[in-house]
Amino acid sequence: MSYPPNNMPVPGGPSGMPVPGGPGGMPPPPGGAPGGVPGQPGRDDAYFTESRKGEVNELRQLLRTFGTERDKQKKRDIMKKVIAYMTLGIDVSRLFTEMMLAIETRDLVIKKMVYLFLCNYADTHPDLAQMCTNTLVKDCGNEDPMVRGLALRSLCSLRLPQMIEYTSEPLRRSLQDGHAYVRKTGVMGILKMYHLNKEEFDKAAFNDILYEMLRDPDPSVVTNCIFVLNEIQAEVGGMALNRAVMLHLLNRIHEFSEFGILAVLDLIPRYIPANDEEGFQIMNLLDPVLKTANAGAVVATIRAFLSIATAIGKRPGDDRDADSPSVDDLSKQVVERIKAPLVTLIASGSSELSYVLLKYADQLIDLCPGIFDDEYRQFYVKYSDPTHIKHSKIRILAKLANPNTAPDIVAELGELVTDADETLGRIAVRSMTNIALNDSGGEGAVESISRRLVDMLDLQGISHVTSEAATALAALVRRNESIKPVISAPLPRALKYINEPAGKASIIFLLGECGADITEAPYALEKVIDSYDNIADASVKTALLAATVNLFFTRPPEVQHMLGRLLKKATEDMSSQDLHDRALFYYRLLRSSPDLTVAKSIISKSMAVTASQFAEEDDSELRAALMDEFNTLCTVYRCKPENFIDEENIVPFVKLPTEHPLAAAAPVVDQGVNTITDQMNGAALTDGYATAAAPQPAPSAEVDLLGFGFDDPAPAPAPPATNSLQSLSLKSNLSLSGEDYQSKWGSIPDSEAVVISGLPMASAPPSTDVVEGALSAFSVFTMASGELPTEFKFFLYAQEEESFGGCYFLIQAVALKQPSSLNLTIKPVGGDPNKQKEKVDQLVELIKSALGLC
Amino acid sequence: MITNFFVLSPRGDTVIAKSYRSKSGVGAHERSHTEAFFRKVKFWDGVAPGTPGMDTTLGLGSGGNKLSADSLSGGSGEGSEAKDSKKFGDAPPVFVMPDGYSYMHVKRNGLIFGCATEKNISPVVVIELLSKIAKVFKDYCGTLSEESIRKNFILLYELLDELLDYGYPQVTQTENLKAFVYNEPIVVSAVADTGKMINPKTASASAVHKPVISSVNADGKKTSLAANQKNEIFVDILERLSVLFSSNGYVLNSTIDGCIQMKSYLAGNPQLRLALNEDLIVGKNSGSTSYSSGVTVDDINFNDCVNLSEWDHGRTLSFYPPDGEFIVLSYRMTGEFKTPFRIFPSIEEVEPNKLEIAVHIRAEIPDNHFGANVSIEVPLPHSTTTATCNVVSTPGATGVNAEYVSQDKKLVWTLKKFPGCTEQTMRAKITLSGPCTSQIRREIGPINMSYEIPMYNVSSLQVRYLRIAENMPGYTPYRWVRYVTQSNSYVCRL
Repeated sequence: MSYPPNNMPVPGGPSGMPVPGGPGGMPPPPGGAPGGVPGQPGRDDAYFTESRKGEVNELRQLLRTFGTERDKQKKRDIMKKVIAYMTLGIDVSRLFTEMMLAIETRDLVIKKMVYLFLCNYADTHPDLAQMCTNTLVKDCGNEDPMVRGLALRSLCSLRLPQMIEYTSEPLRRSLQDGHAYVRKTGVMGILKMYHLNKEEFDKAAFNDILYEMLRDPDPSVVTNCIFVLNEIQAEVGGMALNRAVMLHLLNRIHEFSEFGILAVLDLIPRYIPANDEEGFQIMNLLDPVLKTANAGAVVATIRAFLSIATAIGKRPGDDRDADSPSVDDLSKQVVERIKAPLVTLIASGSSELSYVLLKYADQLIDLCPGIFDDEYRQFYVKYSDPTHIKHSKIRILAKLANPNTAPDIVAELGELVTDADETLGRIAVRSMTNIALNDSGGEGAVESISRRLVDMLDLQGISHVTSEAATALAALVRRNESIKPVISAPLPRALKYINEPAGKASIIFLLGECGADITEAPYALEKVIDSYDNIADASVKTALLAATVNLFFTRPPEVQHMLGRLLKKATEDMSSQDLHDRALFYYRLLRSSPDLTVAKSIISKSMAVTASQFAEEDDSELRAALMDEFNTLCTVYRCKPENFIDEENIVPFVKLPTEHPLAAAAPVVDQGVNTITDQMNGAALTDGYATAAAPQPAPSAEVDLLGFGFDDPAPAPAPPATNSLQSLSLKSNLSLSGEDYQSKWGSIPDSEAVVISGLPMASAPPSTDVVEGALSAFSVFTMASGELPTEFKFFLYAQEEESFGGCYFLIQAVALKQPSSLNLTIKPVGGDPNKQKEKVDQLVELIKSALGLC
Repeated sequence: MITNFFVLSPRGDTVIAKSYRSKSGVGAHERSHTEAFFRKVKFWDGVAPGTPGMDTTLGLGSGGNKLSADSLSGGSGEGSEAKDSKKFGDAPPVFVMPDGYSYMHVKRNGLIFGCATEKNISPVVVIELLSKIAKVFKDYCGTLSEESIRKNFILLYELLDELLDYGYPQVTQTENLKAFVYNEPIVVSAVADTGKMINPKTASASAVHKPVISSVNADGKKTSLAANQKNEIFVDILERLSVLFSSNGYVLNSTIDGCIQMKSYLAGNPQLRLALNEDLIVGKNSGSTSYSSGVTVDDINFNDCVNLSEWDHGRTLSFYPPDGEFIVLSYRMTGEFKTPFRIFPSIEEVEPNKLEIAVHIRAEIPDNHFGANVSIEVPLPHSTTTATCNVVSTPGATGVNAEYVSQDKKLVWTLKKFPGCTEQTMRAKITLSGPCTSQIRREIGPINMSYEIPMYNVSSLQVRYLRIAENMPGYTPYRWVRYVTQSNSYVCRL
């Protein structure tokens, strides 16, 4: 799109327009061309006029009249002019004082402009900026929430470390503001403060408040809280996450805006679902997202799905029942599910989006080969695609080849080889070669691709294609000896017109390999040897040396003389150390071995490749690392974050909660995501600051009935060391993975479990946390818990100190709500079998006393 | 999240710039970075600097390439040839610059909306965010151009303030932003909308170039939204075709990428109900074995605002239209459909260095429709010295022209209007500098055709009705429904 240049306001360019909008009575600006209509808003081109020395003074004059000017529009125009100069990069900081006088206004348009000016020049004029803090702080208490928010945002954006003392108070107040706009701005202000002065930030202890604000009724506030917490806690992988928080956010996910939803979705990959059921529930909850056109949310959902699949899928060596799907199966199902939405987004989005999404598709194809195969036509290049999209598509096409699709794909690639875009042609040749190298095209594909490549050798007009084809054939021959007869015929003639070093080296290599079948091979090489001095590229010389030696073993009489000449030249050639050493090595080897077969066995064997894959191609490690970073820039660049990001900005990928809860095979407790999160009110956010942040809904009466203060589970009643429990000392720091728990539970037959039922309880516990906290004080830990309509279920475990036998106790506890009673199923694992009964009894006593049942 | 945001003009001037976080005192209007970025975009050299082993063009560093490394090492990227800036094509929208930041950008109407980040964030989200900002700017200015942005820069900074805070997206919906915006847009006259044909019987093209809030026009007169606002809604059913023909006219690949796009200026923002064909089937494999006459789409996605409760039965959507332009749904079809134009090329070798190419195109659309702005390009071999062409047109075809563009080595044949149910032919005589070998013949083609067909769609997806959900007496909106079929990639191999 182009415009006539005279309409174009060129920054810093010659002024074509006068400066309008001066208040009445102002003299016309100096240098203004005729035709200006004063007081006419709208001719704003003129804001971008040439800056002259006098113009800033001019503005100052204008600003001085500002106070007396009555017309709102004219006032705005003066301000606009200042801002226009500022955005052009003209230094108008001299007007600071005058601008600050204008801050006291009821006109929000003007106020915003003054704030913009202030934020821009606060860096360079900290003293002056400090003067206007009072006004800003005052505005933070304005009755209009817009003004409060604006003032707060500006105050926090000043980037002046010395201002922190002024900011923290309004910030704190803003977090309790009645208006979401102010709260949300305040939350972002916390982040700005954090970056400004970390010590002050720590003192202010905003973290707890932020975690608490995750329950703010306004989703935009919650979104900002997640953003801020993730950034503040980047060193530990981001915001602390537990089940209650995750489920709380998931249940509200439909309230979030299109970008807010991403904040929540991005948390899911870091969360390990409590069990299979929950994993599937989350997937069901998110499934509708895949139907939307919100590409960011769709890819975040893809990552969430894949992560859940990894968390709940069965791994090899896992002793779960045979029916539960493995990680690979689940990942495949996920990719199958997201295939259509992803392809639609690629097709319907902007070209920029398509490019990025193609990279994502590429990675998903690597993860689950075969699934995208039937959509291969969607990856055909379009005439109008930008080159980078075409290139991506052609690379992907090679990965979609299977015996059914390969003929079409190879034909399509064949058409693209001659494209005017040279890089595209090269990539097309390589993609085609990759199909042959991977042998993914089914029977006969390798041969038909070889034939196409041989045809390409004759595309004399397009030198890059011939060279690529030669290189490709060289790679193919190393894998497939059988194609030699197909390719040998055109080699000598191709040697004449391939000029690119890589291609030339490849052709020479092929002549050496296929020399037995080509009558004129020695003579073709001889010509090259004779023009040895004209070869510039060392790789061609090296290939020539290797090929000639190779050919010497198959056809010694013809080659002997030229080999001698070549060795002489190469040993004298000092341009390449490698070449020189090789030549010397060949020469000495041939001279010293009386029998040629010895030399032959040393040299010729090394040419054939039998391995199915070259070591340097094994990128499974990189791929796994990339999957961890799926949906980041890594996916586009195809390299790990440390390769392109400063160390300080790398966020480690940490999965939470760190204790993997109960895994699949154990009985599932949950009723569904919704009922679980009803407990959110009672659930602690994270262990450390949990109880402070979460209001305890438990009525105090019930707490008392259970026998101890739940508000603070940490300083628990002193471990009962005096009574009969003496012989049972439990380890106080124990953690058990869900898998271990299961295998231990499974190792003891149910018949051997000790079942104690009907322990009377004064009343049902208010929440699972209450019970868990109480038990953990006695070193009985919780693997998982859940609430059902009629009962609570707990999976508990404990271990005796090693010195006492190290016996594990696995306990399944069911607390019935009506009538309140407790059922225990205890399985002791290990330890002295004779003492187990006794110890179980002691454990029951311990649990009873912990829960106040004695 | 993002470190800064900027809008660059087609010549690289910074039109809007805002910095959210700065390291080492890079100010908000620091030009050197955007200038370096612009040069990189303009003269893309295929290598993203600063990232070892990362060659985004050839992907040598990528694990996807199965050729062994040593056999490839010299194959590309050698300095001698890299001089030609065209060689590496267009700059991708995401790359790393030497300053260590990843730059991302989208191009809209020639303007570059870009940003930088130092973190490892989701590129999809950033691209979406930039597109969203461009859309919001367009909604508020009416049109998106350098001129409209320059004239409205205060308004746009105001919007930007609410769109992003400290680099994180905040309020991004056009209608939600209204509450925060106090400036009025200044309307600039819309530049000719490229490529969009408007049927004169329908609303004027400029009707859709109105800002979403009341504005002042170029004369400074305030146009009140309420007074001047016609109660109207624009609905476009837009289908873009990608078809690939073999030289004998056989269809190798065909896809329709369609969408229903709306722009609502309805007062009071009532809930709308949009009904599509009842027999619409979603999913290729969803049991539609009984070759029904219904429309089958492979996949479909919807705008966030759409309520799908009546979708499964009745194929009806309900939604409150957001302000500004938005896409209600996008769909993709790969099944067989009747291609609107069929291309039959033929090449004849009259003499060793003389060729005759004939391109014969048949319009298979009904005779009350026509293809508009049709353009057919035939690339010729590098060794072409001269070419002459003539066209055989049937009556009804207007604005017909065919010529040989020697600098691009291609034939360009254009028709302003290509009536339905007609056939058009172009013949060209080509002289080559040398004899025509089979390799030179491969350089001819592929033929690319671009066109659009107003008031016609290929998929037979139809809007059954568009209604205001509640019954509001006296509420008479104007509904402008438009069907457009466009070529996306309409190519015939030779």
